[in-house]
Amino acid sequence: MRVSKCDPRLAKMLIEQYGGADGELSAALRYLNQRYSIPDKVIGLLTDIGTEEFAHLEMIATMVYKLTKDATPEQLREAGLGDHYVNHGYSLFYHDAAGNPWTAAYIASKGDPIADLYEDIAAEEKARATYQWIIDNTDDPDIKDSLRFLREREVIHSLRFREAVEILKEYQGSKKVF
Amino acid sequence: MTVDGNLPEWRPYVNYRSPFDPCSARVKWYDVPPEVTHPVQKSARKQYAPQEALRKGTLWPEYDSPYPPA
Repeated sequence: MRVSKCDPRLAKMLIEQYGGADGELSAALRYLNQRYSIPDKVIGLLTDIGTEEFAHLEMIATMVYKLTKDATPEQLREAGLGDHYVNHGYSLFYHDAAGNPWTAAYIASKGDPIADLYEDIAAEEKARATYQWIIDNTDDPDIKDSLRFLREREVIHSLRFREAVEILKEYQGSKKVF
Repeated sequence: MTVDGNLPEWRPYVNYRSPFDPCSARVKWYDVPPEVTHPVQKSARKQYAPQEALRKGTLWPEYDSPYPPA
């Protein structure tokens, strides 16, 4: 992960994708939990995407860490991270940009395959939008590069969940390559 | 209405304005990304070269959605 400037203010926003409702932790746990009760045809998809989300979680963690590790307590305070510093020091924590701690209530699982997949599609679109709003808030070209990549992955995940819905509808006439 | 292959991915909209709105008017945009307009992949699509695909986050130009939009 490349980060070109010390910007703890951006770390405060990025943490949304670490411990927020539509963040990578929520996504990984949501999919890896749903896969037990989803029809066999789409278990592999949930395993695949859920695992990828953990890799994205590591990318976000690395960005947040690099943006804050050499900042002084004063710089953290100016970035709005004074409360975080008092509670967690330089460590990361699973909370959103507003400081709300991560909760399992973010993990949707209804046990109804169609309802769960639509939930997953919505989660991907929300994560895509979140990345847009974060990109709008930085001018660091390296961070922007990484965030654009992560946003595009949300696009592809949403696409694949939409296809999973089609598979469950058994509506696909011809053989498709996924 | 056909699948909107010809409409741009980003579409403008303007909110209602009252005579007393404090901020100046601004056009906003919303994204209708490619997975929404083409929710099922067709076979035999164009592919990016592996290195380019890794950078972009997708193998398929059809599903490449740059941000900010070009």
